[in-house]
Amino acid sequence: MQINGTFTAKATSQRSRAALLIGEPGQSSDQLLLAIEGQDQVEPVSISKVSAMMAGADWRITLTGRGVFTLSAALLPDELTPFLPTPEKTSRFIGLAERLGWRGMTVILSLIIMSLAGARLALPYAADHVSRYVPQSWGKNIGNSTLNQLDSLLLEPSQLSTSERRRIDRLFSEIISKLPPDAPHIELLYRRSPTIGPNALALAGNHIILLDAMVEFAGNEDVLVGILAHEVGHITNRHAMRMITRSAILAVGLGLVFGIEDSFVEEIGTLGSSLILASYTRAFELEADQVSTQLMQQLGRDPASLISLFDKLASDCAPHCDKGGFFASHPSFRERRNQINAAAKE
Amino acid sequence: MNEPSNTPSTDVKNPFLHDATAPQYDDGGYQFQRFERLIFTGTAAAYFKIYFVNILLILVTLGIWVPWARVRQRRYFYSNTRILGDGLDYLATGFDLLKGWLLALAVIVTFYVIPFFPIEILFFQEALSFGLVLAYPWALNKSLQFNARNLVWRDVRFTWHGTYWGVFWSMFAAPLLGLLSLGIFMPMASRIMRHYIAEHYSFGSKQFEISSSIAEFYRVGGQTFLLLMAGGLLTLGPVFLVSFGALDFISRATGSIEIHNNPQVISMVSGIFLSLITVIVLFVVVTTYYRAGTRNLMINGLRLDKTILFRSEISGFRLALIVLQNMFVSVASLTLLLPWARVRYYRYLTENTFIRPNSDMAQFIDDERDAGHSVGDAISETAGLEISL
Repeated sequence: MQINGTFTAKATSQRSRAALLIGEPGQSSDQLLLAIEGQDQVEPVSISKVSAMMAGADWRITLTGRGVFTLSAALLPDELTPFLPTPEKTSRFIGLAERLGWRGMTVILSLIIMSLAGARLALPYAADHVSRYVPQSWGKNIGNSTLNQLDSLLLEPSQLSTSERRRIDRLFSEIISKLPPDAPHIELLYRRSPTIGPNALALAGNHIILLDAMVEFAGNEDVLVGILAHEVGHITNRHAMRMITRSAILAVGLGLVFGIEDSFVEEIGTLGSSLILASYTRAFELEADQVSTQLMQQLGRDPASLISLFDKLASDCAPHCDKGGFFASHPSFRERRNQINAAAKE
Repeated sequence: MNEPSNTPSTDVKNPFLHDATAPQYDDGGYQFQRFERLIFTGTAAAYFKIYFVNILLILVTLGIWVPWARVRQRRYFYSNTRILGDGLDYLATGFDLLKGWLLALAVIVTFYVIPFFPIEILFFQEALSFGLVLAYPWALNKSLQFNARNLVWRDVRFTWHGTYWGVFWSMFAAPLLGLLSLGIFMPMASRIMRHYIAEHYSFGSKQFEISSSIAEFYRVGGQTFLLLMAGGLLTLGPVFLVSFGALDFISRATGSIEIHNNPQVISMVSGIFLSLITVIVLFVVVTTYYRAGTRNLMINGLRLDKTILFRSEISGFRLALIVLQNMFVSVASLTLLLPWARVRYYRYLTENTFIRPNSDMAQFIDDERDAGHSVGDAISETAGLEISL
């Protein structure tokens, strides 16, 4: 058999028409011969390396000590198999996968979608598991660093009176007293912000920041207890650290899958990841509402006061601000109301 | 693998001895002293399969496949690029790249994890960031070296001879100065960079050379500036007017008008988005036009072994149109048509590049230098740096 191709002498650009000969008359069966145009004799050769299969590419067959035999063919002739170095089964399998028809590619695309869906489902569990191994000191550092940044950029010292703070501290101690003994130590900090509006924040370092505007907005003690208990719920459920771990794993995963391509594809991936992360924060908010409802009941407070807070927030913002949904970081007030009602009934 | 038998093979005839009419191979494939177009034989359909098999394997191996995916992607484009009938080939393996990727990963993880540790070193993160910035020229230089040594035509490899400070000056400092001068020195910076790239590549033992005049680069710079002005006046002016009108209207109407149901406001807010899209389109057109122009100058001034010439006939407008269409198609298809877009872009660049061979294309010899390591390649990939001849 004559396998036609070209021969390039080792480390040169000197190329000639050539053929690999197998089982020609007068040739022993274990012999691979190279015939080069312009030479009188054929010569025995051995193959030291064959390039991996690749669509459209020539096969690059390295002949020990001689140079490279190049062959244009979709597949290597079977007759050449006994002369090949140990075949790399993986690269052959991948080469064949890349030659699949459209039906095969539909299977590949389906497998990709299934893998992505599987990763999407597994991510919260895997990330939460990983977050359990993150030392508490790391959480403290992240929380302290966030607090420092907030203090330098957005927050100012609170202007609440000492008596007002004492009153809130007392309410906060009541909430803490209902937590299990192994609960983390939580610190309540008072700040004001000219830009954020009425809000309270729970940080990774087990700090709760209560803004002056929130105290004013809450109006009565039950609402204030509900807000503080909600933030306590974020801390006891380690929402901040779980969120950090989830977003880190998601970012690394997306970087690996889409990072091999153009940067704007990565942007699309980032948009997708922010939608996923938004769904996590919505779930965390509902979880914190649940903790808040339970704590309020234990303290003999009325969980319905939280609902009145949502009504007040809803009436204060634009008519369409309570949509919740796919892009929102918080669930809709209606969803939160329903959950609190259900939890209170239990 | 069968070892070559020592049995004499004198009985077997060389089949080419009897083919007296066959032309000498290097004589018949192309004509000397005439420009020959580079050919790209790849197709979107084939690359589509490679791309999605890669994504699946990256997912099921939890990312371990990334270096192999990179190799297959590069190999597909290179090996389907035919110069005078022969394909280029990329010889690096996934294992070669894996080492670099692991080190790059360790550096990045360290960078992000350090702030979590309870250590009080003042400006540690900042120092680390500065160190990484200083490492970029090194990484890019090593990446160019690694990839050049793994790129082969026939059996001769390319070599990159750049140095840290050369790369630092030509690819980082000079373009930065060009930007800081509000573009006045940008053509000069582009010429420095293009010359540095061209002059520091060799094919086997033969170094590339380049000749171009600074005036040509300023001509391309001037054309780009005029394009920016004309494009800005024609598109941004009207769109900005609408947008400012919309902003003014909204600021006056704060709270008193229900924005969501007001068609007038909706149309004006759309104007703001339109202006944003116009800015992006104009940016892409202008930068692509400039890159195409300076690429043409570099390729047209390039010489190998004194007599082998090159030509680039990229149209800045056509390339910009391809880039814009590719962006639109990729986003609209949620990246599903990205393989098609990439093949289209690469094909346009390749098939508008020409080589004029000399009478002795068989003369090149490889001096067999080591390919080096892939650490720089991985870091520059991570940083999104990619430069090639």
